[in-house]
Amino acid sequence: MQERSNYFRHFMNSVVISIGSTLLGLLVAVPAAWSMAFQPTRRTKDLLMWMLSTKMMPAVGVLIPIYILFQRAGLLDNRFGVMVVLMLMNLPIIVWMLYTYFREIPGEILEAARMDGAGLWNEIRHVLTPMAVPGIASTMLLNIILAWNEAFWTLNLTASKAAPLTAFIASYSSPEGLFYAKLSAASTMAIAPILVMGWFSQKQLVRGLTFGAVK
Amino acid sequence: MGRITLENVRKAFGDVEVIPGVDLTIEDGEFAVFVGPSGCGKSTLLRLIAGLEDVTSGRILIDGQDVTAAPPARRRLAMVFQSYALYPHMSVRKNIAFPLKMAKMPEAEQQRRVAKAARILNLDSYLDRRPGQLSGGQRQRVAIGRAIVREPEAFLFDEPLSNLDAALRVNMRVEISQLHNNLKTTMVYVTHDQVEAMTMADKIVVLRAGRVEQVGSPLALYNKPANKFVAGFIGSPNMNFIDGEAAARHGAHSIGVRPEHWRLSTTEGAFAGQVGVAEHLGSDTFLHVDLDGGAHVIARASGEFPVSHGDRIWLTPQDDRVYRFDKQGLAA
Amino acid sequence: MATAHQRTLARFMVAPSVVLLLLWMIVPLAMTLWFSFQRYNLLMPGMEEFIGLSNYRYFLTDPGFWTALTNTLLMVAGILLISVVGGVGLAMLIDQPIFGQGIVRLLVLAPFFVMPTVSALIWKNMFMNPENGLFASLARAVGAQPIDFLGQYPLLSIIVIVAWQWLPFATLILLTSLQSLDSEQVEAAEMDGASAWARFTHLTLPHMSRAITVVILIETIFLLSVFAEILVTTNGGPGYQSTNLTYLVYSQALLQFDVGGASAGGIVAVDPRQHRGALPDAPDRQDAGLRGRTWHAAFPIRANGSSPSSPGRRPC
Repeated sequence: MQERSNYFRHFMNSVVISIGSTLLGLLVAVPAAWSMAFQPTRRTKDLLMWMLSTKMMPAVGVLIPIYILFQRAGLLDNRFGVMVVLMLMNLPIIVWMLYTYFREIPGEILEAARMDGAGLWNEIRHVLTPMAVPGIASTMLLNIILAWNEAFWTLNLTASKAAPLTAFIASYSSPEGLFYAKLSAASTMAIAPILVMGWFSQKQLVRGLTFGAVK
Repeated sequence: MGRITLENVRKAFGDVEVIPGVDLTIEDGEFAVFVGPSGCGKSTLLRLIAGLEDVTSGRILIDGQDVTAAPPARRRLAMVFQSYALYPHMSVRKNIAFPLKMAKMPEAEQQRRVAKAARILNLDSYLDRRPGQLSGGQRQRVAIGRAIVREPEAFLFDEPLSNLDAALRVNMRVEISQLHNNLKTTMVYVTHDQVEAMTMADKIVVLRAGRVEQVGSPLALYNKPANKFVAGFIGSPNMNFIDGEAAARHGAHSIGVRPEHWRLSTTEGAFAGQVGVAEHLGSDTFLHVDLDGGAHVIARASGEFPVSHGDRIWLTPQDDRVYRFDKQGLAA
Repeated sequence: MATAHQRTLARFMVAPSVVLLLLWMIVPLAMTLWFSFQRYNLLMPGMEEFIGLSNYRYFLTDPGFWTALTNTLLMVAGILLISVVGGVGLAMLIDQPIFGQGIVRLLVLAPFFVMPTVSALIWKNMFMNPENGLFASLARAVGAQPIDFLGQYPLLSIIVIVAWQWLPFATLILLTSLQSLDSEQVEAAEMDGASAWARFTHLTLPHMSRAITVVILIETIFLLSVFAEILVTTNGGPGYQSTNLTYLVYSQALLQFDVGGASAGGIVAVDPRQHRGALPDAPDRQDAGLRGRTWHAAFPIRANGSSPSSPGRRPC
């Protein structure tokens, strides 16, 4: 029984961390992507490229300070801490994906709404949101997948209490933890939800994974 | 009432001056058409009137009221966009009712107005469809429907027919003209198609590089173009221009003759040439003629004119129909 | 769309993302740089002092570093090679219309969704285990001596495991690109008498070149940081045989608690010049022009003045 409750805890950690980091990311990224898509300036292009380039930096370059900062702040082995790091890590991807989706909403439609007497709030509520929902949904899905499978920060910043499935399953690597049946069960449960999501987001996946460069 | 006045309206995007300064009045009930080649600023001018762009300087008045700083929603104008800009997630009914909903009109009144607009535009049987399920012409009607339900001071049209095929375009042209006759509301219509301008407008505003080249009724522009640009832009096929000695004989730097103002002869005339391509349409014959001096002109003959490729032909301009232009291209 | 009020609003809406990313990038990097000049070991608190470039000297002369660097480059290059070549082949195979495409597509894609720790453990225990792994059983079945893959060929084994995860990614993207190839172009080439091979080299490959670039760029980003697969299979060993830079820094910092030395390693790992060999399009400080071109070619954004609402390019 002990084992099962353990597994459930790590499963919930995975759920909370992946969904939490995605929601946090959307909160920050939606306004940014919205304004970059509909109010592009001369710098928008460079800004997007810069955001993408932050992904080029190997995570290991910032591992130590993050680890030390988290240690000082008591955020090690803490779900919120991991959530924030994963959010920052995936933020460029979220912004990019949303940007490419928002760009497909014709600006004329928003202008039409404005001509029809809609203020900013009504424009967002009645026109922009319904048209943007599919894009936001697939951005969300892809991000949850990425966060669920993330295995650098989750392994380094969590130990037991906040460890998601990635870290939990890694603990099976030591010989004494090697029970095929248990490993298989845990693995299956770790993969299944993501496979289902992957199936749902199949069509949107490519453009998401390639930052809209391949559709 | 929908009298629109522009007072020295300027628009610049950064360092690029798109509209250097326009003064213009569109009278209440008038059908005004902004026409000009791509990039002439006509759409920008319309968007300034709509409030979708800020003016850099100058004033815009609607019925004498200064709306320069007013947001689009406060200007009581309705706009039909080139892409129709229908809301893809709403039914036709909801699309048309949207401006009424935004105006917080009672539900019953909304339904009454939507039904009326649908009747006028023959959309009754499509009200519950989504825009994606409609043809181009039907979408166009929905866009117009969404504009008319508000009973605005004026309608703004931004190249509304450019996405339709040729046959449908002619039909919609007539429908919009009829709509104007029925509603008698001011309409401002942007197009690059001079045929649309000629057939629909009460007043044509010819624009080039953000400047108003000439304002007037279609026939005034046809008969008395202020300069070479307007002369060449209005009329189809385009006016033929001849420079040099032949023009000097008429006391001008350059003369213009419309294709329909040549007298054709197979034996004698002012200009001799050889027929390049002859287009026999039955009702008209268009001849592409290479004049002996090297110029290339188009001539139109009413009905049939029996010449073909390679034949010799003589052209004589009708005396009262020769347009004279000076060195600057202004009408002399 | 473009009134002054809206532009101001827009700037406020971009700000949080930019500030967060800026902090995320600059603060820790600056700290890493600072630590790298310090003697700083978590086991010896209070002993911190400035020691200049000693950490770098130590790190760069450590034979483990050069092995790790070579391993990193070999891993990136090997996995890229497998996934691009294999991806082109698989994509062309799946593109045949007779297959049950939807299902095949998902099956091919599936490994990409498998958690890295799970896939590494599956390979380690169920395939590569010399006692009771699938490969060992197969070897015994044909009378051969089972091979201890992770013990004898640790780097190659990890390359295979990680390639198994990334091949689907490449396949999916290349397949998508392949499906957007205009069939009339292919027909025109057939009419012009082009052979199947000529059609492949002159039409298909050039058409896919952008997708291939994208695959290389994106996989490189992730492959430079391969970590979990090493952690759960070989722990970087035996010796340094399967240690990459990421893993080296990790073990220096969190296993040996040498923050200063690990930070020097972290800075070295971040220095893009290290990756030049493996990555023809690597962003290189001295070669910003090339980087710009490659990135922009792969991710064309039409941001400037060409938004549907931007007036700059509107047809009049």
